Amino acid sequence: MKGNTAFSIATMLDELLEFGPALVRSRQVLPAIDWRNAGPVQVEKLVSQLDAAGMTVPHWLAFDLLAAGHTLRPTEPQNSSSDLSILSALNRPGVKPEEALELARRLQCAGPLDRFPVKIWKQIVDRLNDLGIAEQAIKLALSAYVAAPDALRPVRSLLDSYISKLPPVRLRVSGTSNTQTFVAALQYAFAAHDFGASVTDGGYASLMIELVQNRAPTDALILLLDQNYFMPRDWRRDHDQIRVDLEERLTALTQAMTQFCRCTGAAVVVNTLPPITTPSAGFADMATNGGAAYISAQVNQALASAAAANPQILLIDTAQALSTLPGPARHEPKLWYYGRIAYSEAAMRHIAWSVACLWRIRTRGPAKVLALDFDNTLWGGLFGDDGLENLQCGDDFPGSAYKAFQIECLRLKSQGMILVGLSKNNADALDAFDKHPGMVLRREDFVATCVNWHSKPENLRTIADELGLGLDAFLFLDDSPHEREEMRRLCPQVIAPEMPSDPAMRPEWLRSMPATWPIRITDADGQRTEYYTAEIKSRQLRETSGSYEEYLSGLAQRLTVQQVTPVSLPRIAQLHQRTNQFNLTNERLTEADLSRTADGPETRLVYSGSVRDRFGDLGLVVASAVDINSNTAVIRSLVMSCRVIGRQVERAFLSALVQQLQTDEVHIVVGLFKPTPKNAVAEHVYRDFGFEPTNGFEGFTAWKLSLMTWKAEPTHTIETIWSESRC
Amino acid sequence: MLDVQRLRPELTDIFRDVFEYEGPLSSNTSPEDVERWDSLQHIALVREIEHTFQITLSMDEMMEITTAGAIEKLLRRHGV
Repeated sequence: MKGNTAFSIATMLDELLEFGPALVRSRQVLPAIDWRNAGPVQVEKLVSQLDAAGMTVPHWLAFDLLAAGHTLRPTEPQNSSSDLSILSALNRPGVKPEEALELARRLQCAGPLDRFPVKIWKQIVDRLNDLGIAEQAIKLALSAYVAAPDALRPVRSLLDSYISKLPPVRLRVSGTSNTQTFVAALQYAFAAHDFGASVTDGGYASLMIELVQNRAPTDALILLLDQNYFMPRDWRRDHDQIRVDLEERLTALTQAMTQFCRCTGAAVVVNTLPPITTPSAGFADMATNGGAAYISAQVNQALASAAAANPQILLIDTAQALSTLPGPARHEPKLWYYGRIAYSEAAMRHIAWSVACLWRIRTRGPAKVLALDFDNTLWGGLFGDDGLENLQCGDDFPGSAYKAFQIECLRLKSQGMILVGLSKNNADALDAFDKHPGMVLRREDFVATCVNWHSKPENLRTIADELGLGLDAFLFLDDSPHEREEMRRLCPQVIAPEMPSDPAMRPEWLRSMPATWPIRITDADGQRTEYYTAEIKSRQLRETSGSYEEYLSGLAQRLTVQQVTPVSLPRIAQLHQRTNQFNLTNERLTEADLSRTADGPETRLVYSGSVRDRFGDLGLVVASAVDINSNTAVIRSLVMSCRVIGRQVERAFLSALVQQLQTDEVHIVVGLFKPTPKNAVAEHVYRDFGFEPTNGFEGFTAWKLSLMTWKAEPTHTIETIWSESRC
Repeated sequence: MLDVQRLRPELTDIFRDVFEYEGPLSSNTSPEDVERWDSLQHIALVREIEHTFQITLSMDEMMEITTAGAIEKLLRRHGV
């Protein structure tokens, strides 16, 4: 420092930067610098010095510079990650809002978003906000919320109005401790998953009161459990008594949850107890009645049984939710003794995030199709260049990682996803699955493959058309950043996540991806591939047949109609949850809604139809809930799997249904339709069947059919039979 | 000698963020002046102080915070 001139960080920096490369190598002094004090010339000087020394800007320094609003020359970030170049472009002076919007979109597609330090998030959100694209800033800040809640600060004043525009969900929170901080976390976590949650708090330790009072209407009651509630209150009691106390407490809790679901029709979301960090019986903790770990295991087992028995009880695995948070950061004793708050603020965010994630999967469903690249994704090496025998996949490293990845794909198939292959290769690349000894996947595991030299988005669209599925049903996995980027650009609805470049990281990465997580696994899930294979075969027949009628007759379709049974119930509910296109009222009826017995004068009847044709069994594909009040029947829901759209199944099913109602002495049938962005295909079902338009209400259009005069017309293309098994 | 009555500017930001308090801040500012300073927001205040100044407060210190001036005193004791 010279003489009496004021202390100037800028001057100090100039002197420091003389030693740039040495300071970067030793990682000294520079990490402490606030680079907002540096000018672009100084940054440029540092980078040039590093360049001259044959070094590139290391990650930590790049983050520091970018967080302070500097840009990096395009060459530097390339060898670290493309995220850094996006950030750098965003910092460029004079960047236009449209460009920034595109950059932000790319950043968000690239997820998961917990890879940046907090300061980077603040910089990005500030920058977008300054550029006037606040909405995108809010979205990014929300997606970073778990790891970087501070990123929300610059946009906090805009949050309320943003949240109010999201699809609403009503949540009630209760638990065994003070849940007020959980309420706030839930609101942000749900906003990050595109829900506008209105959350009310049942109050301190209101668990049992809330469960017994059934104070609906809410969509879900969220219960926050913690270890303290289940720990022995009195260590004077003998250990057998402690065990009995716990059992009684658990029975009361699980019974109350089941009762609550039955009475209100709402879901209960409940968390398991987190792993124990402080034992109450040392090394014997797991093997002693009063041990914290033993108690926690008992509680979690009881919760798991309750959830397995009742689909309205949804379980959050707290160990998984908190897995990225070190033990001591999960609980703050000070908060516990001051305010009976059982989890730290960070832990509350993580648990809330899991709840929102689960809710999203539950309402919108997981991805249905896994679209897989071949070279360097399913096996190591290039089929065309290296030859079949040299592909890496098997029990030796690095083929072992690829084999593990294939096993995960096969697991997903068994859990109901369907696999399609997208590879830029000659068609003989498919031979690898039959001839290479290390492959786990077989050619038949893929419902469809496009192995050619066309662009992948183009191929994926073709497959989507063949399967009759929307692009948003697809999860695309490819090791090439270029292919991913092309997919995101041309098919923005497809989920195209960043994939770790190291194959060893991929099996676990795939397992941790929520887009693949099923909520509940039904028997139909394991057979989905057969259904879609049959669908593709029959479409091929359609192309070769003469008239459409002939084609349908040639299918030899048979529809079996049946009243709901305990066996068909989960599938009928699943159909209501998953179907977006052929869904007339868009009512997401759950198992509870469907099995609801009469409350009031109405009787609810639920019917389902299963279809088989000459290519195979298509399973349970159509269902309807009908409410009957004296001699009027209202069709509350009519949903049909897109697997059978255009095959006149709905006509045959409706005909069977109406005939049944006629026998039950119903005089008027009312059909409802509520338009959504996706269900136009089902718009004219009632008109085409012969219903007359009548007065609609609350967004529904209504159609009426008088059964006094109606006569069944036989459907030539489908044979319909009633199954005898009744509820 | 620093003026013991002088509050550092960060406290104004903290009071705005935690309590949405825009009024004048003095060392005598207490829960009586700040509408949203209740027992729950007190936790948010403590968290915010810990976070901003990278310190950890004990339960006693948490209870010591009865005015803005008390925060300033506490911070100086922690060497920030």
